[in-house]
Amino acid sequence: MSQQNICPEWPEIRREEYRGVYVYAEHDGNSLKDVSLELIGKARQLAVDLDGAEVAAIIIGGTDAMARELVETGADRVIRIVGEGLETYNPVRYSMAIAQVLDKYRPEIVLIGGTKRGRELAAYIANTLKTGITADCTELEIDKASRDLIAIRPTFGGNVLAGIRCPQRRPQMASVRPGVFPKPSRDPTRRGEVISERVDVQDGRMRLVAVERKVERDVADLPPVEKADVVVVGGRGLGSADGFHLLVELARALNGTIGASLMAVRAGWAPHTRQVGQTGKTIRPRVYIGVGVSGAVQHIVGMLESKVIIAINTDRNAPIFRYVDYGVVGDYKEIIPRLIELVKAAPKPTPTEKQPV
Amino acid sequence: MKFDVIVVGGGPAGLVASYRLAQWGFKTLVLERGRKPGSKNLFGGRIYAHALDAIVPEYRKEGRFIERWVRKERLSFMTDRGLTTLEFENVEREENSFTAFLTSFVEWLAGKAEAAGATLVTEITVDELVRDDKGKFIGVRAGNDVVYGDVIIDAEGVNRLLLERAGIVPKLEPRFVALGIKEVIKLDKRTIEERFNLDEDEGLAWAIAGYPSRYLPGGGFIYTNRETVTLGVVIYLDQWRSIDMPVHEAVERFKLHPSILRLVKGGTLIEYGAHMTPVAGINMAPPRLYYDGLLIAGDAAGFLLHAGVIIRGVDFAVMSGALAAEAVKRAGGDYSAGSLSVYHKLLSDSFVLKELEAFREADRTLHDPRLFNDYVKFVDSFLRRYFTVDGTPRRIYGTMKEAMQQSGLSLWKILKDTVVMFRRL
Amino acid sequence: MKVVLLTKAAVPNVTAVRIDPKTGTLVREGVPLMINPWDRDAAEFALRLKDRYGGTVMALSMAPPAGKDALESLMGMGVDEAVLVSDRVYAGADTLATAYTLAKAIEKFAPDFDVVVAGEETTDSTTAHVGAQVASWLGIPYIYYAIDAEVNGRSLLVRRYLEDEGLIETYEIDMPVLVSVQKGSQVPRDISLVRKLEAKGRVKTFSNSDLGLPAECVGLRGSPTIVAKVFEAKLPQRKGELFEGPPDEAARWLAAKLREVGVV
Ligand SMILES: Cc1cc2nc3c(=O)[nH]c(=O)nc-3n(C[C@H](O)[C@H](O)[C@H](O)COP(=O)(O)OP(=O)(O)OC[C@H]3O[C@@H](n4cnc5c(N)ncnc54)[C@H](O)[C@@H]3O)c2cc1C
Ligand SMILES: Cc1cc2nc3c(=O)[nH]c(=O)nc-3n(C[C@H](O)[C@H](O)[C@H](O)COP(=O)(O)OP(=O)(O)OC[C@H]3O[C@@H](n4cnc5c(N)ncnc54)[C@H](O)[C@@H]3O)c2cc1C
Ligand SMILES: Nc1ncnc2c1ncn2[C@@H]1O[C@H](COP(=O)(O)O)[C@@H](O)[C@H]1O
Repeated sequence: MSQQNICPEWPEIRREEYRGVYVYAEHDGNSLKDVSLELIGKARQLAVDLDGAEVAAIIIGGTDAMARELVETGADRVIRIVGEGLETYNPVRYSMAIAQVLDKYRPEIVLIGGTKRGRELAAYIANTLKTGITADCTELEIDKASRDLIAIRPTFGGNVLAGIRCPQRRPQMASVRPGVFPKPSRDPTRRGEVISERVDVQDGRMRLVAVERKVERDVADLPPVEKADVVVVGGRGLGSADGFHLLVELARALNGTIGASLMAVRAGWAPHTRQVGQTGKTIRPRVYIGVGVSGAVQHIVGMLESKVIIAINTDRNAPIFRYVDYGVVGDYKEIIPRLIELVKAAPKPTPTEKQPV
Repeated sequence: MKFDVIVVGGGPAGLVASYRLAQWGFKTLVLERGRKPGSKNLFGGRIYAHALDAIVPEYRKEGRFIERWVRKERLSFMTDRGLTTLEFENVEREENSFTAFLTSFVEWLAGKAEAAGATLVTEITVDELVRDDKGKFIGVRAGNDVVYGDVIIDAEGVNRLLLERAGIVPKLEPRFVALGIKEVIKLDKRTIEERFNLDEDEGLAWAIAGYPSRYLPGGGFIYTNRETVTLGVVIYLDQWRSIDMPVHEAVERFKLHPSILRLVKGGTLIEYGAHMTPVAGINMAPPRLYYDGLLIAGDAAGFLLHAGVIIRGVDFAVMSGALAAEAVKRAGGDYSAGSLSVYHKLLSDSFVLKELEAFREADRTLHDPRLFNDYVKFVDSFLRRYFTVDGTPRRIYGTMKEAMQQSGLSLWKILKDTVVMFRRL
Repeated sequence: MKVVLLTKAAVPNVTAVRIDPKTGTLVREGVPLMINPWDRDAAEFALRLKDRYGGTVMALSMAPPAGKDALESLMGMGVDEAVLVSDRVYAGADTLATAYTLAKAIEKFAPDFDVVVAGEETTDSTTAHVGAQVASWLGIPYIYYAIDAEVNGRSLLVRRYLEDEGLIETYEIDMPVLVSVQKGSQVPRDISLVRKLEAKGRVKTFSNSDLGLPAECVGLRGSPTIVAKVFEAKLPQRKGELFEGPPDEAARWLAAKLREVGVV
């Protein structure tokens, strides 16, 4: 690949020096994030298309048990970064440390879980290395001829997918949405190497001074709206905060959580963090149940990828019925209480009983 | 902050008024609640050229918004089983009307108004027309801010909340508005010309009664643009209640009618939208069009002609906007109602009030469901029998009589309806 | 206190974008451009710093000329100064090249800045890259997902919310710093008509001849990533079964469906 006419701010690189698929393994001190393990699994697949390249995990701190888990889920090598100033999370120091290690090992591909912290680090690392990065991918492929990574991600509100590549620069980086790849099972017979890498990042410009757990003023014991298998979403049609309490009860009975339309949030029945739609969360649960939601396009774009869509609405002409698998025309006040009874009476499924949909 | 003229609404009416006024040196402010002028106007249709020719003739050269000049007019009666069409083809190549997207047209007008010196401010919703203690309109309020003007032109369009808040008009009744739902479907240029049998740049305007609006008042429309086809349905809201079908599904069904599907097959939907449109024409006009310090123009004034599915509003909006500007100029600094009454005179002398007055009664006829049901079905039954050759003798009168029986019409009813129609239309 | 507000002033309204399945290209015709909605949260955040500690807010955007409107609206909210950098050579920039251009513009037009405020992400690209990358180009510390901030001498105390962990962290960061604001965390103030009128014609527009950046570092050429293909997201077919009937039966029908799906 020609290096002419390249921005003078970018260091010169030789593509062929870069080999291996690396994953940044995020953890919270106690355990690894699921997405990091999902990525190890994906990295193994990509490695096959790269003539059996090495799969490695980079972890800052962490425990021996975590290193073992990474090896047993598919890493050939685990690079443990240790050094002063890395005891607590710090975006600048963490990204600089990771960038230093990447610059030394020169992998061909770097994958980072699209958690909040992961996305905070990813772009800074890429910029430090002056390479390209694709955010929030939902699929990854290799173009065997060029060894280029094709990073596929939704764009324009999820209507469209784009495949993005980075032909000139290495490593090729991508952050990946949690939950899109399966978590590989552990193979206790797998062996791998664990290397400790001492890194010195003396940057004293920012310090963590306090951590608190946020207590949501809404139903704190229900999971966040983007995290549940079943999401019961209330709209303006509920008519009152009492209506929302009914939905909470249904959500509990279904082991799910609640969400809200913009209008329900405006009415003060649910916090903004539970809003689904263009200016709220994008959710893709197994089951979405919209109650008293009309189905404005701004709402729909936030839930269109749900596996099963259900709606209850008094108005048979409500646009939401265009998007449903199952729709019930009727007053939720009469239907939901009965539904709750039926759900409660039914035997709970054990996870294995759940059928794929 | 003080202006000579404040125009509320960046639609065709408001922008033409401000363009003219700015040209004449009036310090003019136009306020538009959309992100851009035109961003809240939904429309895919046809604009009649005559008003533009009189007011902004340069559009023919500058107007990239002209999609196709209409050379073919079609009027159809559609039933579940068939389609009867009357087609007029203008071979004289006159340029009377063109198809366009209102958004691009309005953007062009906004550019002209700004270039002429008008101040256009978007994303500002006017909350209230401000009056002094004598009741004269002196400015507008948006949020906490009040801006003053010697005269206000209200061109806020069909919803006219400001006029309602000012106590000038009552709340809009459902029977005064219809709902227009449209889709824009992309097809390549060639395909459009082949399927609609058009030459390059020739356009078609097509109104379809019966099936599209489920045999209720309203109907379907199709316009051909350069590389898209606009297709939609107009529904009279007060009557739709009797129908057991989501409004949007009417468009879907219309599109799936075999006669239509053929024409739009393979196209891509690129836009979908719905918008209210006034249908009562001059019957929903405010009691007066001029007050102390205030003029009312365009849809807000009820200047819209609705002949079934053919909506004509832009030429009225353009002309009334221009005449409002003219009235401001003629008022010569005295913006009392008396002085501004010249606006009414100008409108009466123009096609605006002449045509609208002539059609004052039309909306009663157009609200008559029988027109869209019995007659459409009658035409279908008649032609179906007439064109079916199966060995039984079919003379015109006998066939017609059978068709009348099938569609619940009698000769007497037809005669009565014809008389009424002649009187009103 | 000198605050620079980064805003993408002309993003397509994403709900209106469609794709042509034949050519695989985006159909952007008739798609209205708007300000990135999350940048209104960023603007509110920046203006609150100004309300509390004085100083000025300068909005900066790299966008086509149409971006001027959105910048005027930000001035209508109370932003003091607005700079639009707009040039054909900037077209097609990925986040690295965008951030490079913005960083260079900051160095030129606001070298004495204390805080750069960005939105969490843009609705058209949703990368959340540009903030961190601007910080990287400028060589300053940065923090994402901020919900509020206060000044403490020469440093900024920033509270930020990590939604997926349910944690609020507070960092003390030396200025200059880049802060990206948690989307939806602010209630953006209204646009004032009078301020917007005053903003008319006050957006400053600069091209690359003003910035003087090498053509191979900006726009498409300065972008390591390229879009290789675009295709329509395949959405699952919906069953579209509708039930209408007495509530008892409706509830039973729904319960049966939920059982089929496997959640009951
Ligand atoms: C730029 C922009 C961004 C937006 N972003 C979002 C977003 O992120 N999320 C979002 O949700 N919206 C968003 N909106 C707003 C969106 O356009 C709609 O206004 C909103 O989704 C409507 O909320 P709703 O369905 O709760 O209320 P409504 O539209 O008022 O619908 C209420 C529904 O309840 C039904 N109903 C009434 N009573 C009952 C009953 N007893 N039982 C059952 N049904 C009943 C009614 O028939 C009706 O269909 C956005 C809008 C804009 C312009
Ligand atoms: C579906 C449909 C199809 C049509 N087809 C045709 C056709 O084929 N041919 C034809 O000639 N006409 C057609 N029309 C009618 C035509 O669109 C209108 O007659 C024309 O747009 C009226 O112009 P106007 O300037 O009076 O109002 P509008 O175009 O409605 O403009 C009013 C403007 O004021 C703004 N506004 C309103 N309130 C406020 C406020 N409080 N503060 C600030 N801004 C405000 C609005 O956002 C809007 O931009 C159609 C209409 C519809 C709905
Ligand atoms: N072209 C641009 N001009 C100015 N700021 C931008 C631009 N693009 C992105 N930003 C800023 O970076 C944030 C994140 O954008 P993104 O990385 O595109 O998701 C936005 O909310 C803006 O604050």
